[in-house]
Amino acid sequence: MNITYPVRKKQQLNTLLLITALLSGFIISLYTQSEFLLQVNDIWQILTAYDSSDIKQQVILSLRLPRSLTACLIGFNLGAAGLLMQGLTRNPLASPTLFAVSSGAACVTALNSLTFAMVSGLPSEAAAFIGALTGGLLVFLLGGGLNTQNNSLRLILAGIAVNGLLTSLTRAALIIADDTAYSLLHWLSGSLSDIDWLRWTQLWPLSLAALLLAVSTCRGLNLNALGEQTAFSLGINVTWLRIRVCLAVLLLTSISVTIAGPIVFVGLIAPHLARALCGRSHFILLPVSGLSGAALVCWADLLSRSIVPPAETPVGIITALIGTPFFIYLVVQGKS
Amino acid sequence: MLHIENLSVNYTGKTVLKDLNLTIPKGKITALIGPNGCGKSTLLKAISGGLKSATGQVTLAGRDLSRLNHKERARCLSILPQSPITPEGISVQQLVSFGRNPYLSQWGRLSAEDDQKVQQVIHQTGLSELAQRPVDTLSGGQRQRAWIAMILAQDTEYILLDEPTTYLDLTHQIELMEMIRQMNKQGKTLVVVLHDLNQACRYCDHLIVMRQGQISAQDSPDKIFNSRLLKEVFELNAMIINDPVANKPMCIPL
Repeated sequence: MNITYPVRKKQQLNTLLLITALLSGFIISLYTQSEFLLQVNDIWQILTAYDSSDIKQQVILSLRLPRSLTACLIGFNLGAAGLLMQGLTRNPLASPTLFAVSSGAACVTALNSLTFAMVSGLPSEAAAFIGALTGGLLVFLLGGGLNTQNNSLRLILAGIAVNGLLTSLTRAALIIADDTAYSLLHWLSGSLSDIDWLRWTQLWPLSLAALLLAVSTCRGLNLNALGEQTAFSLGINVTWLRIRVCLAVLLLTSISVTIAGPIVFVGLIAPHLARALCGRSHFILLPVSGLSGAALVCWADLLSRSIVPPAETPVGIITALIGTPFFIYLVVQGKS
Repeated sequence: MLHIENLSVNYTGKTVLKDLNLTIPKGKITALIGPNGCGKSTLLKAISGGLKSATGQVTLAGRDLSRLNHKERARCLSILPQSPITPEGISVQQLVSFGRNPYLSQWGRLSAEDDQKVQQVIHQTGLSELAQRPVDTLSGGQRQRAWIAMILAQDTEYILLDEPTTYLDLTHQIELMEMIRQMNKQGKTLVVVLHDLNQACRYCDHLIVMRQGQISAQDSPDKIFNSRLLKEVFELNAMIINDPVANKPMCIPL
């Protein structure tokens, strides 16, 4: 017997369905809506009869594949981060957005685009990452830092305050930076349109490290569900758990925001999907929540290309369109 | 023996506990009593090591509790908070198996021995038929038994319970006190915060009476439980008679 929870048949079936949804989305996103009229068969050809001079195969390999992979991994990161946040705060409405990671990244990127700002001249990835970490750390410190007593609510309030501050700073920067405002706004809505292999190589190593860190917190989070005091009584170092969870969330969301801009609501929805599918053990919930997030972003990216082709709707807008009614549903359900 | 020396707790400038020195006798049931807000729960938390603002020393069998690592500590001493958070969708058996956490290796797999302990504790607390039920669907009395079962699975020598009878009806209060007595017979040392003074006198070997963050008296009920103490600590006029059933002092408010 495992200390946590037996994997039931139904959970396995649910996970299988989820993986199917993800894989089909992934494959469709490799060929759909292309000016080169790609087909499923072209993907098959890459696997069976690779030809480096075939333009269709090259389009898939150098443009489509990195984008789809990145979409999935970012979704996975956000889903996992959302689960960690909800597990730590025991609040089903918590999400990585709370950590002001997105607004921090947006703010520093926006300031960076102003020629007179102090941080100007940084590469935009560096600016976004620094901003993400700064925003997150600010919330962590204001939200009680290492002190674990009764401060889930304090963390949430700190998140709201810091988010508000950073967002208004960003707005101010946008108004001043008239000429670059459009590209900034595009990034601010969350977009996967400029992804290439370089982005992927920036993304995966840090993601992997952060996900391993996340796995190491699962056992603690299972006990944290009983409250900090009980978890402490059961031999969990609650402070250390908190540090690791926050660090993992910070890393997972910072990298994702840096690559694709803020993609909202995925971190909120994915954990709920996972819990509905697979029970309560964080060891199972973490990968399932990640897969849910991956499927969400993958399909949202597909939709973003399909609504008004060939133009792309920023993927963040799609996830927001899906997420807002879901959020309202959660709040209403919580009241009844 | 559990020794507490020079224990003080300050919350944002306010002194909650001031320079407490006390000894919890081994193998006994100790009741912590005192008026609301006198610092009973705080003392219990501070003993468990879960209060950062606490200064002073808690020694357990000669070892400084704060020097032990978290798992070691959790194998010696457990605490059940006054209102623990009941998570959704966790079965009784899962909850009880959480009690084995301090004994598990890194990945948290239960050994056959752990599993046996869990089953034994579930049986002992009469939860066998409810083992697969989600804890959040149980009644108050059953739920409290499940928490006690988790503490028992943790198998610590010292067990601290913060107002375990609150929110229970009288029948379940007595059931719980009997369980505490049972645990004591199996060699556990218990420290229990109680509001019902007569239950404290009837079931506990040792009383620690607190008032305004300080110890007013500590000894067996027979020695210290009298109307002067009640007047002093609780500002209550009461007469003390002999409980005809338990042959312990009991109070009747006037």
